[in-house]
Amino acid sequence: MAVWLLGQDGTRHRLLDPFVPTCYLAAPATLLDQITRWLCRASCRIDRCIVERYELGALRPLHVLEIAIHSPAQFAPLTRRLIEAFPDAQFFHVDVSLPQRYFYDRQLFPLASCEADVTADERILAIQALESPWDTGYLLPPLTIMELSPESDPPNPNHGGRGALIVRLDGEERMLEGDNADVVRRLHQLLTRHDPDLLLTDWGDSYLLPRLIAMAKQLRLPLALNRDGDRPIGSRKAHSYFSYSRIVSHAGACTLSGRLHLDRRNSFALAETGLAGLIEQARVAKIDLQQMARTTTGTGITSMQLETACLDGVLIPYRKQEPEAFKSALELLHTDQGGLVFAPIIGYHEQVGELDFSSMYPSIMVRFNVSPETVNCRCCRDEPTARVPEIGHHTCRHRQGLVPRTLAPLLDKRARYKRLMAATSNAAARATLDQRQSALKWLLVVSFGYLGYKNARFGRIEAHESVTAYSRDILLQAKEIAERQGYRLLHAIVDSLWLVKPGAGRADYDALAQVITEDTGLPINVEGIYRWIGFLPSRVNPKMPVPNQFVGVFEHGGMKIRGIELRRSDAPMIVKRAQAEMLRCLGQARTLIELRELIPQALEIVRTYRRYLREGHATVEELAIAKSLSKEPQAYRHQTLSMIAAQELLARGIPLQAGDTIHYIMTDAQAACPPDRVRAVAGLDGAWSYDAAAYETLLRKAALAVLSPLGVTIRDLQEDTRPVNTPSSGELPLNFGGLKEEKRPRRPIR
Amino acid sequence: MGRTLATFTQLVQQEIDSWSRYRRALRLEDQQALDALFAAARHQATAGAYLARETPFEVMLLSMLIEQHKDVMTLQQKVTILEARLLDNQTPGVAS
Repeated sequence: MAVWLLGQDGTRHRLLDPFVPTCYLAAPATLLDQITRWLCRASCRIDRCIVERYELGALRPLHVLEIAIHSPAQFAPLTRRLIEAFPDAQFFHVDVSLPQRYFYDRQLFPLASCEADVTADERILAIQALESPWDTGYLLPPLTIMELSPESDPPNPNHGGRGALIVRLDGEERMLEGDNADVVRRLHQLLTRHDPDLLLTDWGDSYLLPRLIAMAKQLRLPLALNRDGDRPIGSRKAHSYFSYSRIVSHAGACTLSGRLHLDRRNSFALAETGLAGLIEQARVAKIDLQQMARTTTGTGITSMQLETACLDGVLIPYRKQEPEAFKSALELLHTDQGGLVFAPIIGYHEQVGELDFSSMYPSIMVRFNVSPETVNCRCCRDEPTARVPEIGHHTCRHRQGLVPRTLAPLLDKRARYKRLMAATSNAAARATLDQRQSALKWLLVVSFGYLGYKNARFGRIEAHESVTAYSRDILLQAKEIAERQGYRLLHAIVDSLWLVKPGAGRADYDALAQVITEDTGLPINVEGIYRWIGFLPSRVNPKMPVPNQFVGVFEHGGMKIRGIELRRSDAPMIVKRAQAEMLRCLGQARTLIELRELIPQALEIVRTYRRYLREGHATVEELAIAKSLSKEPQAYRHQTLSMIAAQELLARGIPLQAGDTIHYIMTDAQAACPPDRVRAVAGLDGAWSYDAAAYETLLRKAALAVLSPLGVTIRDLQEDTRPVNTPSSGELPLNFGGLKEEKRPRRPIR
Repeated sequence: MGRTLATFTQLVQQEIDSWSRYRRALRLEDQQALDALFAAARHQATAGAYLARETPFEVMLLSMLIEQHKDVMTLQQKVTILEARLLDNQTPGVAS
């Protein structure tokens, strides 16, 4: 195993650690003989012996053949051929990536501070970490970072656009221009001179690196992207996958040896939690940074479970890649009830408190010991305290499960980060701590999905069902406690509750959270008190509430916004900006009465944007609509706007796959000839115009989404001068939904 | 003297029990409304017992409707009286 270390003196070392990975297999005696003979013919040294190992949750051990392969490079091809040759044998430990196995085995993790005994020929005799992955106060090694990005910042350079290459080093920016040979030569020079540890790029995976490598190859020029010159650059093809009812496109990957390459535009972890968060995840999950940046968070949590299994000597079963089959709606109704949602009471409310259970699902798993092997164990069948509410399952009271054992330190570390955050006044330190805690939050968030997921190593549907059953019971308990204290439940989603009680302040909500925490055993915190919050109705049916769609202003003035255009990636910038400006204006209101007084100002903002649109000032950036392709572009049967734009790109030879995001502008949305309706942004030249009316419709919808519960109608938006009055329809002044506290002039009933 | 059949009041109680999970997942104000409905079903216990239908929930629903209808009628009457009173009080030249 090649290991790169950064010495205290600043030198970089490539060392070799003689690591001997093992795998296990179980088979009947006759088959075992055949396998043994097969192994004797292998080209590298292999040790074999029969050992006793446990499967997860098994009461009796299994006799398995332990196979130790003395050449790590041979491990993957050899095990692959073995599985092909003997498909009837049961395999264990065969498909865990070797760097991860190495980290588990040596008790190391990425970027750990460590100490090694090294021979003169750079071989590791012993290596040990000088810190724990659970430390919160760690320092990072002084990494040299080189940044690469395309000169212009197109939405996606693969869809068009070209320019120079920007290189940033120690805060200095260089622009590499000229012909291809110049660019390759100068980049090679910079790489060899500065020898960066980390190459941080924009679009490096799908665009920059593949192109640079191809150019260098074509021109027969050296380009030292790898520090380890003997090894090839790792690459992976682009692909699409289906996740949480969305098609996601994954760009290819270019991974380097002896140097890290991270692509800001192809990394969920980097985008969500920054470099500090990515490093945090890599450290606790024990997955090397380049993999962690490009993989799903689920791989991180899986790795942590695998480590627990390895340390316990539990066998890790080999899983073929088989995605979960689609279930019928009826099957889902019975097995997959999920969390509880109370649809919001539509309208604007004052002095509302939001209470959130922190990491509810993982906390349930830890507190109630929910794990695949602890659910419906044999020993606790008749134990009343082991019962899961609502459903017939129970969990073990005697042995702590693998999943709770993996999650407990994670929950604890996140809680410590949150305490440190609360205690520090240094803004930069706080930001880093926040990135780290949110990186852990992501690991915790996905941990639940891996309890009942067929692809998960240690998943079991009963464990998944038990967690949601507990969560429903606990949310109801919280609601009951609140209602007993005189609070009204306005809205609740799985682990969050929005409550209101006339006269209740911060201290009251804190006290309520305290009682709920004590009674349920799960920590719940006050997320904040809203001066006012509006739960917004469905666009399709204005009487129908929609969960998780609201705008609210906290006591400290910050806003929380969910579900409206501003938060949607497919809304054009101009619509988002108009909505944001409107909300900034409304956000000045401290009470519902003040809010209502600000409506005319908000309407004026909408009108200003409308004039701007009509007068033709809007730019491409303001108008571009980003849409993700939900299927392969060839598979579309209707002429939707995004499909027309996709066709335009395909016609120009740009490869597209399901899950890719394309950007287009509405040119004439109602045109009879489909290609006239939209234009792809990447293909725009000098002559183009936009469909002001179509954008106006989007603008109007965005405004009404927020204003309609306040009584504003389409008419109010259309008329340019008329001041807005309260609606004078025949409705009674009583409003059971929203504005309860609000005083409206009473009219006689005629 | 033991009874073989459950009384109608007992049937209502059984019905209430069978809805307990539904009731638990309602907001407090909606729980109160649900309780009022089942209380209304009990009002017609005599008629329900006399009919002795196989599907008592139908009888309960109709009993709830009867009470609802009576409430609506009462409210309608009150509104008519109040409207008449308002019109009487309105003299020309005085704003409402």
